[in-house]
Formats: sequence, C-alpha cells, structure tokens
Amino acid sequence: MLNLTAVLAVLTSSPASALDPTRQISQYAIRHWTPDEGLPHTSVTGLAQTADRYLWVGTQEGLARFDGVRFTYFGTETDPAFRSNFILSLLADSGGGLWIGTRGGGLVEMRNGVFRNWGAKEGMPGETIVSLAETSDGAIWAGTLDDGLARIHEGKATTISSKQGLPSGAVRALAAGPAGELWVGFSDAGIVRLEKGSFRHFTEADGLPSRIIRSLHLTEGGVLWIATGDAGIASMTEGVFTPYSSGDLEGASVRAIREDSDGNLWIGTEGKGLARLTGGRLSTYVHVEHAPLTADIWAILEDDEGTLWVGSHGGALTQFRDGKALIYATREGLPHPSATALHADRESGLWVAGFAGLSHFNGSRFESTNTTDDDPIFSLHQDRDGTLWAGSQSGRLIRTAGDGTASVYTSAHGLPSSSIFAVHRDPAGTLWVGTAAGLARMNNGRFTVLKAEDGLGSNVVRFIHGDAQGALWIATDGAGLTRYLNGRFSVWGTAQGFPSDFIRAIHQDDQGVLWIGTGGAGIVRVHDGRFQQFTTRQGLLHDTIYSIVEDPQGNLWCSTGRGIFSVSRAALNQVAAGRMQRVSSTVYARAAGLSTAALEGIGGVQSPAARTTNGRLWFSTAGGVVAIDPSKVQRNPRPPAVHIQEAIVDQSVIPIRNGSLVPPGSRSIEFRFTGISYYAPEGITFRYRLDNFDESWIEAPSRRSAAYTNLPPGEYAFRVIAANADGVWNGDGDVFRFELRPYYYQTIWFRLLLLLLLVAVIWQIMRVRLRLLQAETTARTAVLEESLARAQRMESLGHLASGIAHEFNNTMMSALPWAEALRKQRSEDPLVQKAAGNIREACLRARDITFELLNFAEPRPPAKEPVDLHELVNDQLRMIRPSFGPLYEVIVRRKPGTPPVEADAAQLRQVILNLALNARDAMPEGGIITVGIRLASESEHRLWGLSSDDWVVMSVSDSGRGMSEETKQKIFDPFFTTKSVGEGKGTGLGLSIVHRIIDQHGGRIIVDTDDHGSTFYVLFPTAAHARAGEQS
Amino acid sequence: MNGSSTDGDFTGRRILVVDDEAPVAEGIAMLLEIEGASVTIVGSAAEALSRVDSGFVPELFIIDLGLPGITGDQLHVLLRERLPDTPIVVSSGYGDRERIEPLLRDPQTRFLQKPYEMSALYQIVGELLRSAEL
Repeated sequence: MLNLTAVLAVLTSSPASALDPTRQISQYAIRHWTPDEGLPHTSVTGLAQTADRYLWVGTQEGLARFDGVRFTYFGTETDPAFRSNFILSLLADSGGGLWIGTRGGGLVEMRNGVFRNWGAKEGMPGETIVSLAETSDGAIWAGTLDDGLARIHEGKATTISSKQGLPSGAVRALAAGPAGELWVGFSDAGIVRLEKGSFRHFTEADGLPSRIIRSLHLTEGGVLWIATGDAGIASMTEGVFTPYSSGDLEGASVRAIREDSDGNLWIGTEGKGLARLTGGRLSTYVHVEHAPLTADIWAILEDDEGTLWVGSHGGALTQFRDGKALIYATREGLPHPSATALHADRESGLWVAGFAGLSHFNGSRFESTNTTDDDPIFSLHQDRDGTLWAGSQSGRLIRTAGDGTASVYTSAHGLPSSSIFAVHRDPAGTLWVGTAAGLARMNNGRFTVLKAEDGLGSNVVRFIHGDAQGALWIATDGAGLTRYLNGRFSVWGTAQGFPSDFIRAIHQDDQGVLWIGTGGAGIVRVHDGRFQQFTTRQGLLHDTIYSIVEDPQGNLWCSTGRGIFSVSRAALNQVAAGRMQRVSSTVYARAAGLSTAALEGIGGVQSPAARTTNGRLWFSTAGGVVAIDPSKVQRNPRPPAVHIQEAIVDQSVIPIRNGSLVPPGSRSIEFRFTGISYYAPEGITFRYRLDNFDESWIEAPSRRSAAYTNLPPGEYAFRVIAANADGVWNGDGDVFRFELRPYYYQTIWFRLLLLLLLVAVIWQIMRVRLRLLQAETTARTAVLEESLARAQRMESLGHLASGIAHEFNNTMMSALPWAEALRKQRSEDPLVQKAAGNIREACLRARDITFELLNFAEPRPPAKEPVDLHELVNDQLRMIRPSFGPLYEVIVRRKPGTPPVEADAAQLRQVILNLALNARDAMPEGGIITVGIRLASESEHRLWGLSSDDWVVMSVSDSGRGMSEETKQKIFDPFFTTKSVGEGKGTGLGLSIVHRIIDQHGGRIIVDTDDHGSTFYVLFPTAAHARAGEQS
Repeated sequence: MNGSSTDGDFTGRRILVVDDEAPVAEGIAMLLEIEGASVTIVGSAAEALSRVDSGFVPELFIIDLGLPGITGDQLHVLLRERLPDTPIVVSSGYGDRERIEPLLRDPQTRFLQKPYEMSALYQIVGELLRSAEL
C-alpha cells in the first residue's frame, strides 16, 4: 500500500537527524537559498525528493534540481515539454519519476531524465494542475482547478469531474490513503473520500471548520490533516474532525501542512509564517524576521536525512536542521546580543558577561543581574564560596557575595583606571587582576600593581593562569607569555624565540602541559621549557585562538574568528613528538548551525569559553553564546548519493550513458559530479579515479569536477565515491564507462613517421633561419665599424640563438625518449631499429648543435690557470684524431722551453677542436694538419705589433687551397660558413667561439692564407706575463 | 641493444613526473616504466602539490624547470617543505645556472639537461633511489 506519505516514508526510512522538538525554531540551523545562489525565482511553490535523492524545487519561473550546492534549471527554455514555467505542484512517484503540475501548461512527467507533457490531447481535464498524489495501485492523480480530477495509469489519462458526481470542479488538494482511498479537497466544497468509484462527501455539517480546503496531509498514524483557507487547521480521525484554530491560527489561511518523522506537525500559513505543533500544542512561530523567508509559506518537505525544507512566496528556499551547536542569542532570552567572558558555576549554571551587563543561565533561562549599568564586563571569576568577581571596561572590579551583596573596587583601592581583562585566584589564594595597565595583586583589600618596569613583559594582561607549582602564567599583548615565579618575571616573546607576542588563552592539561592560544601564531605547546607550534599548516582551523577548553575525552576545543574547532590533544602530542605530520580539526561553523555573527568568536578576555558541570562547552561570540555538548554531537550515518552528472569533451557535453563513445582526437575530458547530503552539503568530500589511467584514488576534497587531457585511446571507467561531512563513505559511488576512439594515425607506425618528419622539419627550419640571419649579418657588416658590429651582432644573435636552442632542447626531448624506448622494446625488428636509431642520432646531433649555440650565446668567463699548451693539444687531438679518418695526417711541433700559458683549459680545448675541424674541412680530399707551439719571435713582435712581453704562439696550418680575401674578412663572423647547407655540418659558430675565447683571454688570432693553405696563429700571454699584468 | 639495463630495474618504484609537455612526460614515463617503475604524470606544479597533499608520496620526482604557473624551482621549494628527503630530478632545456644552482645545494637533487639520453636518466634515477634507501 503506497501513497504519498508512504513514498516519503520509504525515502525517509532512516532520517539521520530529525528536528529536535525541544529546540526553539530559531535554534535550528537555518539556511536560505535565493536567486543569488541559483534558485530560479523567489516564490517556491512545490518541493519533492526523487529516489535518486535530488531535491526538486518548483517556482513561479521554472523547475530546479538541487543537490545542496548547485541548482539546475528546467523549464520552457530547456525543454518543449514545458508549456508553462509557473510550477504549482510536484510529486515524486514510487517509480523514480517526477510529476510537475503547471499553471496553464498541463502536467509534465519526468522519467529517466526525459520530460513528457500531458495536456488536453492526452485526455487531461484542464491545463492548471494544483495538486498531485499517487495511490497504492501506482496511479497518479492530478487535480485541476477547472474541471475535476485526472487519473493516469498505464500511460492513459481518465477524467473524474462533476459529471461523475464530484461536488465541484476545483480540486485543490489530494492525499492518498493506505487502503487505496483518495482524499480530495476542493477550494469551495469541502472534502470527498474516493474509493473504488464511490464517493463520500464531508462538509461543515460533518464538523469540518471550513469548506475552503487548501492542503491535505495523511500521516503514517492515519490522521488526516486539513488546511483551510479561512479557519486554520483541523484533524480527522475515524470520521471525527477536531479543529485547531487557537491563537495565531484562528481564521488563518494555511497553504501547506506536513508531519515530520519526529511527529512534529509543520504548518505553513499565509501571512503568519511557519508554525510547529508538537505534542498537541502549537508552540512556535517563525515570522518575517527570518528574511529572506517570508510569512507566506507555500511548500514544506522533509528530506531523507530529516532536514526540513520550506518554500515561501517572494522569499527563498529555506532549510531547517538540528545544528551540532546551539546558539543562545537575544531571541532565546540572552539579555545582551554578544557575550564576552563566561564562567561555569558549580551547579551546571553559567555566568555570561556581555557588553551590556551580566546574566546567569540556569539551564533553561537567563536571569539578568544589573549590577554594572552601562559598563561592559570583560572578565569573570567565581571563588569556591560562590563569591563572583567581575572586571569591567572602566576598571571597576565588582565583588558579589553568595548572598547577593555587592561591593566595588576601583582606583581608590589601588587598581589602575584601566580595562580589566582578567581575574584569577591562584592556588595559594591570592587574587590577581589583569588590566590594560599592569597586573594587580590584592592584599587586605588593597591592590599593588606590577608593570613592565617591574619585569612584566607588557602592561596589557589578557589572561592569568596559576599552575600547581606556584607559577603564574600571564598572557600579554605585545610581549608574549610571562611567567611570575618567586617574585621574578620571565618573558617569552618573539624576541626570545617564542612564536607570538600576542597571547589570548592559556590551558594546562592534566599532564602539566601548557597549551597557549595566540593571536596569529596558532597554538603553542609549552612543556619542560620547550615550545612546539601548531598552526593551520598542521591542520588547525585558524591561527588566532580565542579560547581553549578541554573535554573529558582529551579534545581541546577552541573558538576563533571562523567558528569553533576541536582537536585531539593526543594527536597534537604525536605531532609534537614527530610521529605525525598533521592533525585533523573537527569544525563547528556554519554547517553546525552557527550564524554569521556567531562565527566570530570573542577573544582577549578571561575567559571566553567555559565547561559547565553537565559537560556542555560554551563559547562567547559576537552572535551570543554557543553551546556544544561533545557527548551528544550527532553523526550523520547516511552516506551521500553520488551522481556523475556530465562529461564535457572539448567544450561539448556528451551524454552520461555507460558505453558512451568519445570521438577520436578529443583533447580534454572534464567530468562533473555531485554528492547529495543535505545535512551539510559543503562538507561532502570526493575521491575519483579513471580506471586504466589513474593508479589510485585522487582526493578531491570539495571540487566537484575532474579534468583529463590527452588521454590515449582506449576503454575507461570514471569512478567517483564520496563521504558525508562526518566521514561516512558511499564506497559504491557512481561510475561512467566510455571508450575513447583512436584515429588511424594513433598507431605506432604513423607516429614513427610523424617523428621522422618532425625532426626533418625542425632541422630545415633551423637551417633556413640561420641563413636568413647570416644574410642580415652580412648586410650589416658592410655598414658598421667591424668590431662594434661584431659585438652587437654577437649580443642580439646570442639572444636569438639561445632562444632557439632552448626551444629545440625541449622539442628534442619529446622525440628522443620515444626513439630510445622503441629501440629497446622492439629489438627484434630491423626496420624499427634503423628508424628509431636514425631518429635518435638526429636528436643527438641536433642536441650537439644546440649546445654549441648555447655556448656561443651564453659565454662564461674563463677560469684561468697555468696550462701546458703542448700537453693539452696532444690530449685533445688524441681524442678527435680517430674521427678524421685515414686521409689526414696530424703533426704537432713544439719548441722546447715554451712556457705555460694562463688560460681556461676547457675553453682552450674548444679552440683546438674548432681550429682542427676547420683545418680538416678546408681539405675535403685530405692533407696535413700541422700544429706548432713556440714563443713569438722578434720579427713577429714587430709584424703584429705585440707588447714586449713574452707571447706563446699556437699555429694551426692546413695544406688546402687557402681562402679568398672575402672569406678571410668574414671568417670569424657568427654563422659564416663555406660549407653547404645540405652537408648538415657546422653552424658557422666554431671560429666565432674561438675568436671570443681568445679575446677573453687577452690573446690575439691572426689568419694567414695563400694558395698552399691557411694558418691560424693564436697568441697567448704567458702565465708569468698574465700574472704581472694583473698585479700592475 | 639493452646494454644500459644494468642501470635500470626500478621495479615498483613510484615516480612522479611533472612536465607540461605531454609527449615529453609520457616519453620519460615510458623509459622508466620499461624498467618497472610505476610512473604518474601531472602537467602542473599545482597538480603535483595537490597529489602530494592528498597523500600520494612518490619515491622520486622528475620536474621540469619551465612549468607554467608555479615554476619548477618554486615547486622544488614547496616540495622540500613537505618532503625534505625525497629525491628530485630537475630538468630543463634551458641552461640557466642561477636558477639551477641553488636547487643543487640540496643533496637529494640532481639536474638533467634536456634532451638527455636514456642512459643518463637511468643512471641518475638509479643513484638517487639507491642513496634514498641508505
């Protein structure tokens, strides 16, 4: 037997946390969603939850699917099945479908994501559908305002109207009963009970308070609730009507009525807000003060987690929940809007100080004690005998004895005329008062003041704690933590290596460890003279800590400017010992029910937190006092539903159907998913994983999307799992299987071809560029003075060359590993071996060229040391000689006694290498390369205009045909080469590099050429000569 | 043909490659996977950090210096804050010494100039993984 209530009952089989009837409505966590958050319109007319757990919201401007975070709009703009955007009624049926009644646009059915319209053509009696119900036979009933009722069953609509005996055509409300009966409410004719084709009509004559019916609701207990348009509400049990129209409900128009799973009846009125009927008594109202919720309530729904949804006219979508925290603000009787200091008394009561007075909470109500006029109380302390001490902003210390008699201490008693932030009686019995102008000690009714000049770190004292060893720990502003022991002060501020100068709270645990709450530096653990700092990096909610209290389970509870959090003391100790990296904070903020004002804690007074003897923890905030009972914090046991909503392939959405094909060449795929838990939607955490790609789950703490780029073709499954805010996982989650199709060219052979092509193209581009540069260089040479021109060219070309070289290095890296991998993995295939080997060789050759380019572009200063040129020449030639082949002969001649030169050996090797290569290239048919090493002769000194110091000459001669005068002029220009492009050799940089290296060594290079060959003379200062030059 | 395999055998070692050029990253990954390593590729420093912060701790990082957004040298600093001892190979097609040299003061960091050969990669990765075991 199913009806609407039963459907809801199925959905709500295990409400995680129903609404606590002992709370005032204002103490629920209340949250609103308006068009700013994506709600289509401010007037919410209908609410339903489908089997996939989505919440559906009907408005005057379309339908929205809501997952707790995002609204997705459906309406005339998205689907032709909608002929009207004005939604009047919603029904989630037992088959997972959704029925949408519209004004003037007929009925819309949604099943498996597809919308279908039911209008006059399909046999519907009217176009304005105001009410919907499902009877236990699976039939859908739609009530119209025009002409009766339609029954939709097995794809066909049949009509029941006044012609069939209904007392009126204006069907306003429907409710299905467990025996298959249907209750029909009319806007002008009372109620009809319809069962197996027979009617029974109820009117005022039967005890119905009004014939204007607005809403019907049948409870699980079999009570029919009737909302009327002009006479409040009534119930009917076994044919007997009982009206409830006392108080504000008298004569009220009620549009929505719903019983929750805790048996609270929720009543939505027109003009008088939301009412709750608990235990047979109408208890509480919510009025317009909760804007944007308005006083016109149109829709009420309890979801499967036990939270209550309310839609109002011209207002918002509003949710009521049991928050984990309970706020006491002015609405709950707190005499002042914000609280400062709190103090737990010995009978589970709480003293609350505020900016306007002092009050006492006895567990049910606040009692104001107006002892302080307009002077805000900042600090509280109660002695064992019940004497209460309150320190005020203006510096008055008010003592209230157990019998209520009060006396006031002021500057007349030696107190500074300054705000009193802290009051403390130490274990030895001395009363201490912390002020903004020093620390005062009470002695026989008089105060003596200790100040900064007495050794107190700073005069602003925020908190005082006395330990069992007789030490007093004092929190100061500006000088950190101060200890007072045996008449001496010790100060720990940033100057002493303490993490903070601003201390807000001090807590000592049963092991004697001090936990210090700081302004901006988190919590500091102080033990055995050692500090250990914990901040948001270690997992705290915030770095400014206003208060620290401990629960019996060993958790530290702290208030901050962003809400309250608890953290395990044992976990902090683990971190302190280096055995853990991070702790996890349990946060009590908006999701716990804190209002915006209550998120902002109060700090800098003693003390903004307290634990009452009943175990409740209390925190003062800008929005009142917040209470949390750690032993009763409810955990939401219901895992979230998980839905993969969309896959976006290169900016276009593809349908989420398992086995979807993703077209070849798709570069990026983004998945959007959601988790549904309305209790704390933002607290849901996700993990996703792409099978065949990701090796492990990827944490996506709150982001509801994942993107992949450049996936190789293949079959994939994208999986998402999620946990609710209390860490309860839905490990099955949702999965989307798809195949990414390959292009023909995504085969290994095509790729290989492409690589070869790539390398060839890069190569050609490089050659062309170099030639262009060379042409430019040549043109400019003619104009500019040669050495200046060279310097400038070298610089600008250097930049360009370096840029190109770097790009090539990166580009090469995308080919080289593949070639090597191919060679390694396909060693049996000779073609692959040859192809991959060639690619590899080409890459390595290109790499050598880019290194040469980089060398040219980014010279480094020579690291000079005495070098035996002869030894170096022999060594270098031995290395390169084998690559010259048999056509060449290399001769080295050295005059005995030639002194060492002062040079960079590595750079000299480059000089030798390049000159030798140049000599070889000058003799394509082979020949003799002669290297000579000696001191410059007298005549050479004269010929080349050398200084009178000793110069070492290294000559490199070839036996080729010499060079033209033009070539000789340009031989050192960068990129000048006589070798043809097609030879694939050289960059024209070799001799440029030689020239620059020699310049940097303070040497000279001179070219001599004739028909029998060329000789390069390289002149270096001797080591002795270079040293002498440096000294002078 | 497999002469350099003695340097390799990274069976089961977890390596994270951070390179914004997919063919480069995939090529390096392939070379390492041939030797049995389990390689994860990410295209940005942010992605690398989010993996690490969510509990994925590789045994070695190979990071490109020229990453978009958070650059490779910044990533190196951020990784060191989290994982003081995990070996990091920094590679670059650029030879800018002033960016690389400070990184190399870290004893568990090496530099590879792009383009590098398989043998160089195997040698450096092998050395670092072995020294991390000590």
